[in-house]
Amino acid sequence: MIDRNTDTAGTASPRGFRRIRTRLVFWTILVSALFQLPLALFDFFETRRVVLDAVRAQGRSLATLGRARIDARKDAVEHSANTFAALLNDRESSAGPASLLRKLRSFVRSNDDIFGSTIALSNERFAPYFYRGDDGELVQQDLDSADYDYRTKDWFKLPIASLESTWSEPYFDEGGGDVLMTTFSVPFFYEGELKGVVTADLSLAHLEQIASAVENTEAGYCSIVARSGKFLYHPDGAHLEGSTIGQLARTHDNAALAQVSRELAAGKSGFVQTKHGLVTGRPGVLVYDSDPESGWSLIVFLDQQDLLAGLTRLTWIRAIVGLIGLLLLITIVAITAHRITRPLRKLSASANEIARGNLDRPIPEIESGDEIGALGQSFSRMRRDLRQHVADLTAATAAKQKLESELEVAHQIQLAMVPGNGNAEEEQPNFQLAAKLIPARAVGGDWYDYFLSGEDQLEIVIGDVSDKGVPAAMLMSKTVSSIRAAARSSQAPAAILSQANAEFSKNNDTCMFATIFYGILNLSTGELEWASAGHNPPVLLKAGGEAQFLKPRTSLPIGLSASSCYETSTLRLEPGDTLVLYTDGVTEAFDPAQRLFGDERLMETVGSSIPAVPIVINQDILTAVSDFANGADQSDDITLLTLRFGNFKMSNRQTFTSTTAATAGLKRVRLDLVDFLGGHLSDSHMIDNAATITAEVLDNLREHTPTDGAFAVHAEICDGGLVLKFVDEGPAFDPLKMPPSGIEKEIGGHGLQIVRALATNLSYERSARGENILTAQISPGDNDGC
Amino acid sequence: MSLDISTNALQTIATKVILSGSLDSDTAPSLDQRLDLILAGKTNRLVFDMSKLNFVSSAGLRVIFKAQKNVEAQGGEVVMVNLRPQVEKVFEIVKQLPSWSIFQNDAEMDDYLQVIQSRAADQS
Repeated sequence: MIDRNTDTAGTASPRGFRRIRTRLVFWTILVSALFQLPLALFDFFETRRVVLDAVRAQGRSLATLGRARIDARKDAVEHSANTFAALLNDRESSAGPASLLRKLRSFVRSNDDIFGSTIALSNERFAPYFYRGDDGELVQQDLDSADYDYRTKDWFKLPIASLESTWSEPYFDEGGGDVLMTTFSVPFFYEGELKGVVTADLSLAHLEQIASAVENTEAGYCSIVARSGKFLYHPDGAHLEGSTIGQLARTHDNAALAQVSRELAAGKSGFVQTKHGLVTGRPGVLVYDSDPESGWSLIVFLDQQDLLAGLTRLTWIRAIVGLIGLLLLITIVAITAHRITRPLRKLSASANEIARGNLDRPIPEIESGDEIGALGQSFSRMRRDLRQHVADLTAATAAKQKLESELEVAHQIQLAMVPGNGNAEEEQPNFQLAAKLIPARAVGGDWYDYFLSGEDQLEIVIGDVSDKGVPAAMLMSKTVSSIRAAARSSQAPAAILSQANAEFSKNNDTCMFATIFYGILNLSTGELEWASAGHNPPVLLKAGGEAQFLKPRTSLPIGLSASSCYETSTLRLEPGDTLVLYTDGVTEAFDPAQRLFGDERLMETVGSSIPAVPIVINQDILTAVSDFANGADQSDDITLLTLRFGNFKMSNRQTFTSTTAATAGLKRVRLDLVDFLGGHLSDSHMIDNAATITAEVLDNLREHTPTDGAFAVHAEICDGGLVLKFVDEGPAFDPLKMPPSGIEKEIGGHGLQIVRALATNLSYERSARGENILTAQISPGDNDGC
Repeated sequence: MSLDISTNALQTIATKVILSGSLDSDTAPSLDQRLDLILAGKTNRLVFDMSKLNFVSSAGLRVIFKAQKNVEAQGGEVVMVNLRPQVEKVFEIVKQLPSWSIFQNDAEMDDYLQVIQSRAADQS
């Protein structure tokens, strides 16, 4: 059912359980099962309980009905016998045998309920018996015969003994009626003296008729039990032969029957569930009802399966109807989900199309008018808006490109305004100068300038117009011109700054300003006249190596006040002294944590620059600032102008770098270095010293760094001097802190001793990037290091 | 840069070890092994001819010092001849030379050997 068209789009359609339809169907089934199943179970068991209750009630009513019928029959027999006995009481005249026979015959004949009857005398042997034969005719029999002694029978003995009317236990009357019967015996008297017993037999065949009438043809059967537990009637006649219910229970190991037996013996009524009805062998209910008076009990068995057949059918119908309902529900849910998600799939395909940049394909119309329809409209709107945005962006980008190309031209023009196009290097017999201008944006407000004037004067300028970008750049160009003009007419730096200030302050409605340092160096004497208009104090690096800031007297930047005054200061530079001019782009460079580079770092960098020549100092400062910024954007223009006074010929300046990623490459590094030195140095002592130092440092590294540590060696030959920098990324280790190896020390361990002896200058530093940097300086003519 | 080692018995009194090339941490182990072999014999006097040795590092010094120590323990001697300036400078830096004899040239060494030999002859 997956629409293949949507699959061709960039985003794959969800599959399996992720699909809305699958989930809806799953949850529908789960929830309806969760609710329906317990309900159905409850319903089934509750119905079953109700049915069983009804069964019991039915059994009880059947038992009651049976009881009533039996009682009616018994009552009738009892009544007849009692009446007959009362007739015989105190009637001597009727005691004649013929009369008695006559009366007996008419008694039996007139009472249909009675199977047979006898008048058995106690003081004479007289016991004539009439009973109904098979054809219904009365049959006479004498119970006082050789093989039937009535005086030994229970029906005679018990009432004689108790002088009360008695029902006998059921018995098969062989001598008498030859049927299973029970006998009601009533004693009769003459003048208070016992004369004999009148009996009325109740054929148990009658009970069968009663019980059959009681039996529910559909659901079970009925049996009648006497006080002794003997069956008076059982549908299965085989049990009748003198067996009791207790015996039956034992024979069949039937717990329910045993319980019924016990309950009946205790004269109780009730019901019990049985799993195996004796006749049917199927589960059912036994309802029993005992009569304490007669001791006759009625047991009704109702077949449960028959009774519950309706319930089972009902359950089946319910299950099928429920299943059909569930299938219907699933179908409806699936169709609905499919209808809901179809527009979503279309939208998804469209969105993929849009994502590929095809904004012209229209969004499919969704006419559902529901939330998805609204989504579709939103999509259409989005596509329209996107098209608009793309168009806008294209236009904006074109405009920006135009502006950028203009700015690029402006950048070139601005750099062209300073000597060397922003990257100047000068080497003269009595000074060296290097300058660098790096705008933060295409154009900026920083500048530097230098030019020779008069006989032997070098004028140097560095300035910084407030703000950045185009406005600053425009003002910078104006200021550069005005300063140059002022320099032509004035002789002292202070005067030049004053003149520039006056020019700058004119029409300065935007309240821009500029800081400027202006210096004039006499190249013969080293005398430097200088003035500062609020500019960062330059760093003076003495030939001896100590660095300091050149603190000017407090002065205002130009442009703030037309009446600002500037003073010229004088300083004498010794040969080898270096002046470092910079703008606040250096000291106010930020690192990613928004900390400032600051004066101290600048001073440190300048002080540790080796060799201390302008180009190297500038490069070191820029590297330090870039390392410090560590990726943070350059926030301001950076300008450097470094001037070294005196004769320091930077001839033959050569640099060399060799790196290796593992100590295995150290030997190659050393050989490459020696090759490089051999090609650029004529002093073989220096080469030998450098080679020895390098060998020792590398041997030391092999011992102290991990074998996969990166390593680099930098060599710089400058004016005959050589500087070696060994950089490794191993754990911090300062070899110079190791105690010097003594002569008497154990053999070996002389490496550092040799390095110390051969290097003119040796320093160690742990860089912020986690590098060990060992710097060794080797000077020409220094061939007796020891 | 490699190190070439050749040996030469000087009469019966000494073994001459001629080193040429570079004696550094890469080549020092091979010299060390060679000296162990030489010293395993009867020799207790070593003469290092370093006229062609153009480089030595502390790793190389260590091997020579070790040999010196072993030889002296047996009452022998280590002498060196024809050291190039850079090699000599390195030896001087570690200043472990008092008991050593360094000869500027072969002639000086030959004189020395002769003295030793005649001394040995006198004793016998």
